[in-house]
Amino acid sequence: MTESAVIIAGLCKSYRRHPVLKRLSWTVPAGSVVGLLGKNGAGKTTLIKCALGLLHPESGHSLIFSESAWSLDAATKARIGYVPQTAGLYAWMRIKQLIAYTAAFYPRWNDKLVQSLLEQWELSADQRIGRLSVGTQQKLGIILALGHEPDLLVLDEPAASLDPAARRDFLKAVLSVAADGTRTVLFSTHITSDLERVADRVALLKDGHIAHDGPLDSLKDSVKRWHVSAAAPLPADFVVPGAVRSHVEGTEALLTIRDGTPGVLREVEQRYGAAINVEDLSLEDIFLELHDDRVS
Amino acid sequence: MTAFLKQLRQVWLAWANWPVFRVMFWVMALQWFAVWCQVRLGMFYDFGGYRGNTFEFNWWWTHGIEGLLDFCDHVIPVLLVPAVPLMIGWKLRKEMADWRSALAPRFRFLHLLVAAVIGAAILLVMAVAPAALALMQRYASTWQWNWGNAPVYYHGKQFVAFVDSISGNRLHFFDEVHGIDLRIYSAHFMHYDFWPAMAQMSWLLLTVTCIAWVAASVSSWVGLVVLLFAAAPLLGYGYNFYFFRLLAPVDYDRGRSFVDPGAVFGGPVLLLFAFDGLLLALLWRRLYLMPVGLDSVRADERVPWLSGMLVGLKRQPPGGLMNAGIWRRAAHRRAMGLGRRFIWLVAVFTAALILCSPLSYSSQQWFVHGDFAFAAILTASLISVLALGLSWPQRFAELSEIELLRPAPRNQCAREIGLAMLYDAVELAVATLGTMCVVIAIWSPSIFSTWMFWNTLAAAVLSQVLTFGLLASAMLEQSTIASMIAVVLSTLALLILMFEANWLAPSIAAAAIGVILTVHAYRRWLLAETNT
Repeated sequence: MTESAVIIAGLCKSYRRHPVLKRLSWTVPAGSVVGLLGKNGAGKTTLIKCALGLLHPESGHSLIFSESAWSLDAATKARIGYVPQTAGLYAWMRIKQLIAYTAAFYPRWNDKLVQSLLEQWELSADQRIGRLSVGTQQKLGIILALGHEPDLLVLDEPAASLDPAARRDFLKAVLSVAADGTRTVLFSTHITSDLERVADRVALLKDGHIAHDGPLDSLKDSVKRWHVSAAAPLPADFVVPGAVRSHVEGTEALLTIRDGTPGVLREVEQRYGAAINVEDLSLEDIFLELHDDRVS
Repeated sequence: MTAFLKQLRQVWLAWANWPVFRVMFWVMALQWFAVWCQVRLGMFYDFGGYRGNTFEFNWWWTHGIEGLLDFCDHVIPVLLVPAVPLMIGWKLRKEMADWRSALAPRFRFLHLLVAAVIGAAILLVMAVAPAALALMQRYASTWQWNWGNAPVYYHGKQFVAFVDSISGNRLHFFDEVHGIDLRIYSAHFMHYDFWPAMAQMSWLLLTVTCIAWVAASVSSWVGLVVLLFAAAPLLGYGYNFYFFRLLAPVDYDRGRSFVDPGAVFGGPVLLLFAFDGLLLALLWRRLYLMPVGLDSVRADERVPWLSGMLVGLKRQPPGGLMNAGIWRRAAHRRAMGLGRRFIWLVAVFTAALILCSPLSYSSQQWFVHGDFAFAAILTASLISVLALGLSWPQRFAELSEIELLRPAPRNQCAREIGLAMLYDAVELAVATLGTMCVVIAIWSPSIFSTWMFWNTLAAAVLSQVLTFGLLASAMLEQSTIASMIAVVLSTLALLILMFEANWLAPSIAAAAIGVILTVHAYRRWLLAETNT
């Protein structure tokens, strides 16, 4: 059985009595690249911080490599790489100083990887960190998190401030970390195209729960858009099982169906004499459809 | 015109509804209430004084209601004087960084105008106007005379003199309390006190301008040093000595040797006022032309070019700390703006300034007296408190979550970071107090043989323990306000303990409180969240 990198069970967290996470349970399998999706304010950062033991949940627990996140030992921490939303770096240091400072803490340090990433992202070791742009600081934060080749790399919206070229390089770096299938990458993002490019699993955080968790392909397979063209005008109470969103106008209907089966499709075709065109959705469309509060 | 007035009204409301402004308003109200009480109670102003050979303040635990009123109408305003330009400068910077400052017509001009009016009004109402209440008092001249010891109100004296003269000079010319005939003094009031008062006012204006400048634009370590030297005299006792005399190297003693202050002060004071005016105009221009998105500009300015060289960390090989002891690991975690070299640079720079200060006096008598040693130790301690208080809480808030995920268990991490801060605190105290002792040894070596000196030094050292505890507790709150309160409390504690240095027990008690706070902070740290 594969070890789980992160196991979260019954996690509750509130800010000033406003619940953010509500008895959330979730498992991140080891060796997977997991994208965490959610609207602004959904609690992605809170979930990541609780998972890492940076925030104390009101109830529930988080385990990292089977160890309580709140009291991780040194060896387990050495297996974690973390890039927060805003890279907290020592502004007064030069890049080489910060690299040396960070490397001193870790039992293994891949200097070759660090140097190649510095070169790739055109960072000079002599640059003063405080003078770097926000995006460049984020690059440096990512490099530092990769330097000790962590078994679990956690990134909180890492690419938000990167330009397209840097984002592509960053995704390459993430893929190279995950290439051997033993390392786990967990990252939250708004950029669904990035997630589609590298993630093999996706988790949707909604209303304090994980609304969906599974392989990216299965999510794409499970959510489709149906264009229904009926022979006669459709009734006002036109309902299809599994529809998360529907728009009916005369003989036409536009439906977003979750877990729609061929049987349901045939039944609709036969009952309304309809022709149904099934359309695949992009992850962004799926995200929008599942987060639309006007679900019928 | 109507559009202009509407805009002005909106800008005014934006400032008037600012919570900080409201706090300042109530603090000023408290000050006025205290002054009014003193007037109604027939108390005259005497904020501390010599009792025997020792200078003592009127603390509330020794002088009851009198001490409390003194605290409200003197200490609080003294703390508020640097706070007003600091907060106004900070808000202006934020306003100018806003996109509206580039797109909305007259936005910058109106904000600068309202800020200038509010700043001037607060300083006038707080520092000058309370002096007018003296006119309600029977012994107004006594108030005037005693205000010689009160830095913030000193320039209010000539304001009172002016009102006196137009109100038909209804003052009593005899100070029944001190038994001093003040007729000659009053007759020559402008002659004696106008220029010295203007000298102090010019320095007050310079201080305020420097602080506003630092808050509004440059926030580097260099700026901090400027700020310290500008603000330090406002903190009280040293005010008259450091700058009042630096401006005019004379023995200003109206009782024995008369020197015409106008002749001595006039030139330097006018020059200083001109310099103040220039700085204010430059500050206005700088803010008026400041680019939108200033925060990114400031990020660049925040890092002085010397900083990397001053960190002075011992370089470790990759993985070099894995099996290192806690002391070495803690020393490694000292990575922050306060590098070791920086600490010593600031200490030596401060000591050099203090060392040179007697050269601008015509008489060096004062420097062989105990007061010089006292002022030097006080300055060193204040620098230590402020440097630690302004740097560590910020570092902790920014970096705690990264620090916590370095390979080490939570309790070990807490100990290492605590020790790193302790290293800095100890080195700061040793550097500033040590270099200052060298200065004292040069100017007044005989002081080392007095019990008073060692008591004062012990009080300074013990108060650092309290400071450490306060800051360690405040750090966990990860709040700027909590950190500022800790710094202010530390400063007050330092002043109180050092002025009560003839009795060491309070300092020992304060140090014990510091130890308790530190232990408590450590325990809380183990449960603390790092939600930055």
